[in-house]
Amino acid sequence: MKTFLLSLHSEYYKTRKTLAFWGAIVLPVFLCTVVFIGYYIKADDVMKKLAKVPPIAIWGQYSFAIVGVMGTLLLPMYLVFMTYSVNNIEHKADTWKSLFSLPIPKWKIYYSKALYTVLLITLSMLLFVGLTLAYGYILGWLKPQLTLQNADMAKVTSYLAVIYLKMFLASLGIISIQFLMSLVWKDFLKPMGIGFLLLVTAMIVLKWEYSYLIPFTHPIKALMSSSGKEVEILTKEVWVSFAYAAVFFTAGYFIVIKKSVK
Amino acid sequence: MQELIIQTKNLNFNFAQQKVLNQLSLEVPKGGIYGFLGPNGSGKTTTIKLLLNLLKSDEKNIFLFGKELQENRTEILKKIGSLVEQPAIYPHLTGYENLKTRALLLQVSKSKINKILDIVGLTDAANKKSEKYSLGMKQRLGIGLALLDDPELLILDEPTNGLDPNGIIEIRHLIKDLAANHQKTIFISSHLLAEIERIATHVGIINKGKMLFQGNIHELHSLKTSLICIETNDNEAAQSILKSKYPSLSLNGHLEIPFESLEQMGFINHHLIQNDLIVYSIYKQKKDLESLFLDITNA
Repeated sequence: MKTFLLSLHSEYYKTRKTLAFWGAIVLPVFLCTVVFIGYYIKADDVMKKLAKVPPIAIWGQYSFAIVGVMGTLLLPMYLVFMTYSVNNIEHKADTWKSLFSLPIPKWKIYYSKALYTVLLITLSMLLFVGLTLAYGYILGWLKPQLTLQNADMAKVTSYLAVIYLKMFLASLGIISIQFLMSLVWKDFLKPMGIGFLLLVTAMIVLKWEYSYLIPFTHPIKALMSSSGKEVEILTKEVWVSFAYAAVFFTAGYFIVIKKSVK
Repeated sequence: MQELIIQTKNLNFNFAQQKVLNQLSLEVPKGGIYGFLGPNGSGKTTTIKLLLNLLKSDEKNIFLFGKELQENRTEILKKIGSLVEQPAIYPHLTGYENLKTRALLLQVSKSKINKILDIVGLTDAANKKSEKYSLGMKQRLGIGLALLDDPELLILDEPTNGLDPNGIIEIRHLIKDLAANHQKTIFISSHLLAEIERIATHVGIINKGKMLFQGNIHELHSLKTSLICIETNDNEAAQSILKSKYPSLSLNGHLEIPFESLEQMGFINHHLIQNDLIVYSIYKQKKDLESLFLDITNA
């Protein structure tokens, strides 16, 4: 356990000055800030359209401006980018051979890297929740006409937390597939190209009854199935995402154990 | 019998259909510097990658510290520091940070990092980004990374590759110092015989995946043969006169005949003069290691 934690620490130490780490922070900060600025400037216009809407629904509108863009458009490509960035540090420096010649079991190197990637995406999701709430709170204070300050914050927080948790769980399948491709291939075009093709395919077949079997549909489906008062977390696309993650993270282990480092 | 740190028993390895190593039996004794010599593409890096378990071999015939590698991978790798091909360095990190990244994994103390920086002469450049290092500095940092866990065995793959003469001298001094003052066994590969000759105590010569010579440096030196070099006013006539007695005679601007004895030199001189040739010079020349290496690898 200790060497596993040390591997995680080492991953953080070497990525902390790279886009792999900052990517997890930049995206939520950028997106949430843009939406905040938009609502700040257009507060009166927003309220003209939503004059009689309760504060909780205004929160819904405001947070969907972020989560909608994130979940439908950005998240899958963001996952492609993040999984590649973590592995690219080793590809770029040609350090796989030195990592795998250390007296550390190969599975620890593999799983600490995979877990670190998952943790970065967790950090990103947490920042989305935190920044959405913080900016919303500031908006309520700066633009009282938005009535955001009148909502039940406990409800808003739990709703946002559940949605992002569900999106995160629905992303695990994509993470596992993209992580494996990025680990095996040095060339960014391969995981990026295949990831992009899978995403386009997912968009085309989104309404097909078995489309939940395609991992790139999972974040969108997770978001689509989150409307309503009670959000069910473990919907079928989340279960399929778990299954993909189990299969691909295990396959990655066997590939790493058997693979020669050239 | 001397303890063997590395031993391979008839090691074979193929890339697809191509045979890269052919019955290679390495025997690296404890202590000193083993020079693993061979032309580019002869199988040196493949051998090193097999020794580090980076390449997978189905045969269990690689032994380090007396133990079979695949069964005892982690235990064996604890005692090895390695530098394979180019040094594996994160360019966005400083020299110190590169060492610290590795130190975290190996649970090595911070004070050890500073000590290593001192050994490899990078204390002043410790806080400079390694992408700004010269090639020589990168190689030294690579050796520093290999030294971090105080390994008994250092495996260095062509550590002087691409370096200028100053860089080569620096690395040579460092390697000698590590063997003499830090009691490391060093396995170093190179395609440069002159380089190995200067530092190695033992030598293995490999070509096309086969071990052609293995022994200590004195045994290699004893293989050096001498030649008699002769210049006359008509070398071609001299050649036809001596050909029947010395069939291995060759003509390279002057005549070359394998040296046997001083009497033989006297006889040749006398014989040529009797045939009305003028002998400008006749002298004995030791065949250098470079040509010996070429003879061995081209055989």
